[in-house]
Amino acid sequence: MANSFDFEWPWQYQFPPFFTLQPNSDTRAKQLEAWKTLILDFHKLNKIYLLDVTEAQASPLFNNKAINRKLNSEAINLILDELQKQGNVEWLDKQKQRCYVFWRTPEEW
Amino acid sequence: KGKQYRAGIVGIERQIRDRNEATGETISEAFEDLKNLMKMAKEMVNLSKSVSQKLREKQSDITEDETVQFKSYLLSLGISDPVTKSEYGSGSIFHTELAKQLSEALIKPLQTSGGILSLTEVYCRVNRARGVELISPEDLLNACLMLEKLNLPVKLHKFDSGVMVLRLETYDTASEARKVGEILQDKGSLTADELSIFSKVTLVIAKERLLFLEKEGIACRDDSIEGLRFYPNRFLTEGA
Repeated sequence: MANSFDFEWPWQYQFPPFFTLQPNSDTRAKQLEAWKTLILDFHKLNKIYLLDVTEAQASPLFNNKAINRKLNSEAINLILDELQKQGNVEWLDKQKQRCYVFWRTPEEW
Repeated sequence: KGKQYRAGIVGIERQIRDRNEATGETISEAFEDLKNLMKMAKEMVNLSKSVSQKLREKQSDITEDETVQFKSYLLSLGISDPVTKSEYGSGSIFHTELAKQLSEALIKPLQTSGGILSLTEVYCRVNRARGVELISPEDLLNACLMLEKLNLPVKLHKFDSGVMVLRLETYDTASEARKVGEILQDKGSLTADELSIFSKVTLVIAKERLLFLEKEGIACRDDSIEGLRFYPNRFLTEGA
């Protein structure tokens, strides 16, 4: 992930509330949308396709050291589940620890 | 008192024994009276139960004088039973009167504190002012529940969190929210205690205001070890 720093982060990444799951349903929908886009773009630009939930918590994707915020695992799982529903993520194990991330859904390929 | 005791140890012992007997008598007398009192109260409770049974048998109508009177009997006994009696008379006269008195007494304090006061604050102020014949928390709540029906200028409001406040009738939630929204834009982000300092309201109310903004989609939260901060909701205003 050395080249992850070339990645151009969206404005939300510098916005602390981005790292707290929003209780307001409209806000949360927008937030999750932004997260989904970010995850896919991040994997695409860095050419990563495997995501390990425990490891990901330490990766810059979910952990913004500059503003000292990170997304908790509960939220990460929620987003990955959403992505799975739309076909961008496939779990490798039943415990939902590791998954493939598809920049494009298998149908699109 | 007038009894003469002999000098010496025997005299002192006798004196102590007499004194103990006297206190023992006073104590048992006091308890005897209490027992009698309880007995009477028990009869009253039984009586009121049979009355409420009769009330139930009759169909519930609009506030009859009988049921109102009965309510005040229950209150004087300390066994108000609103669950079974809520159909028979809406609250008590006492609470109605208390509600009127409260709204009169609270208008000034409400105006000086921006039209809103939490119920605990009201409780403190009212009882502090009274000194004697204090009101119980339940009395206050019951009186406040009557406020709406009596069409008084002070209203009770319950937030989603369960916090209850009294507000002036003229209190405008929307304009208040706008004001807080402006402060939020101005400062970039706010915690409840920062807002409570800026807008000079109590912490509880400041928090409720921020939660209200969040509910309306104007603010969003940042929950971290540094505390719960609220930011302007850029998710909705700026898009992806």
